[in-house]
Amino acid sequence: MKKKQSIILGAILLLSCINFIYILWFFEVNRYLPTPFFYNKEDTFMDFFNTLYWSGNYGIYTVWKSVYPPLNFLFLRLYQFLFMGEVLETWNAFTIRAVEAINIVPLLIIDVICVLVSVKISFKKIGDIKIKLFILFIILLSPVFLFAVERGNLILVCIPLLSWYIFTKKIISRALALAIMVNLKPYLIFLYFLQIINKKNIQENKDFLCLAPLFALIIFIITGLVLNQEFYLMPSNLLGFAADTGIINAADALSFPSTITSFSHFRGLINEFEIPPIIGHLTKLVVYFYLIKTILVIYNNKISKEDVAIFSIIFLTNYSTNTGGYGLLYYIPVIALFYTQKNWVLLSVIVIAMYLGVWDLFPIYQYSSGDMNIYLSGEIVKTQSYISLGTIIRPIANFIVLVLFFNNLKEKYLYE
Amino acid sequence: MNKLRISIKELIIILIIALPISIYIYINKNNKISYLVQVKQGIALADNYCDNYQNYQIPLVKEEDLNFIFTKYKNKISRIDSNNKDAPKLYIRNDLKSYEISFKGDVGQEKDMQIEANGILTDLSLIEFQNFNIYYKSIKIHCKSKALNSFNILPMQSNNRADFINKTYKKSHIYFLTIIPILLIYILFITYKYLVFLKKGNLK
Repeated sequence: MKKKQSIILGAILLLSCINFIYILWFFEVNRYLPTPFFYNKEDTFMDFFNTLYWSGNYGIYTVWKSVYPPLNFLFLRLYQFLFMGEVLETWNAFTIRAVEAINIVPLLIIDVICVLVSVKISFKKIGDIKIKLFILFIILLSPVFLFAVERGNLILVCIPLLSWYIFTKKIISRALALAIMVNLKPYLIFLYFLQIINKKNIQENKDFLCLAPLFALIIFIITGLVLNQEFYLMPSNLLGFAADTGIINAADALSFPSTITSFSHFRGLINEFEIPPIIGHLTKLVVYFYLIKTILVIYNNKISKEDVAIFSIIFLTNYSTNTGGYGLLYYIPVIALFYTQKNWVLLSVIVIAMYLGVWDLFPIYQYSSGDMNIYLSGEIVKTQSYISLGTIIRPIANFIVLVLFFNNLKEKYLYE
Repeated sequence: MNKLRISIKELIIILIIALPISIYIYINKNNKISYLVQVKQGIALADNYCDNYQNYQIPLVKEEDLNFIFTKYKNKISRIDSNNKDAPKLYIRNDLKSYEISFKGDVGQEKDMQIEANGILTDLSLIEFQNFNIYYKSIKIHCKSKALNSFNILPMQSNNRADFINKTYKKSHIYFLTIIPILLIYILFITYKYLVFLKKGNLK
């Protein structure tokens, strides 16, 4: 069995290597990163540098209307203190990136360490060192990881915390892990909400349900006081962000989508023919139908902690484009949990397929081309942005995971 | 839910711990003021000698000049508010074609702020003339077979400046921050009680 696993993982790693070599070759020849990397090639690492700029400036929650909790900004202040020189107040985010370009390296190292720790925690009881190494390199070479690195997004810091949250047996550790995660990425509060919805488990789970919000509030208030800005406006900014559907444009949403709800954005990109809006509405309807049905199963039955954790990630990556395509990274600990599912091989294969970059070698539709100042090469180059097969396959694969998991829950709890 | 409840005695203890912090925050924040000066920036102005020649207006102070002045005054100004890394700020508002200088400090330091602002404005004015003489004064434009000195200086309009002094923090912000220590100590207290309860063998 182990030999078979190694052969399959080895083949997947080989495909990942081919894709990675293709990315390097494409960059060498064209001087910009290919699809599925972010379409705006001037914007490399700007998730990091924009947030870093604001961490040293007044108006985080009033001017920028940030949806990031104060812990993000304190982390970046610490990063700046440890790894960067003086950042002048007159510099904007792009100037900081230009001056401090080399100081992005510690972040890249932190990103790799985060994945390493996550794999170590998540696959502790499953695979031997060879399997773990295969999985680690598949993830590190995957477009999901590379996309998050290219954006400079702090989502990678949450991945080991998620593994810790899922695999620790201690209630206090679990509550603390969730509290820190929510203070980095507030939408991870859904992990908590889904445990409350699982009302038949509330009594057994009550200590965790009580401690997690207390820890989260303590971290939020203390980091907010240290940040010394209007941190209490963050929840209302978050509601505004969630309600404002116009924030994400079509090219953003289709850069690296994880949900079929992103298909509604094809209308904004394709000019040659009219895509009826009903397609967008239908995809949303189908996703919400399965999400709500699964939530009802969780509400009416006593669901295990592992199953709720799996569904939390499926929910977050399927319900909206707001999580971003790099949300697929949350599947790292979940792959290890799939062992508890009857069709774990199929689920694992589908999820690993989402991590493969070979799909992006096949362009489907070119939506823009033009000269762009490329940050990574420092050259002005004519770029071509296109929708790849991966843009279609990953969201569909993720939706299939949702449907399969719903069926698993139904069989496990309804027909028991 | 009864673990979230506290007795009157515990409430008094929380208030005794939290109130001095709340009072300190209130006095400290309520005392803070921000001072903003706006002045129309100086420009090199080109006359319209020829019909096909546009009326150019070029700002005389560049980003590196601002950085130079900023560095010079940053240390001097630290005596106004040593706790505030935002103070001072010096930038050009392109939309208003103005310089803006902003400080943060305490009530009673308005005079100090004005003195430093005047110093910065004097330096900006000197740099405007210096840059004009170096870069624009000798530029000649050929027009209708004549070479003419084309640029004049329209210096900073320091007689037309606007000074704004405001409280730095909104009342709602100060009230909220005043309440926060009480809330924080209450949450810390009940969390501590809960953890003690779990450690006493109630941990599942």
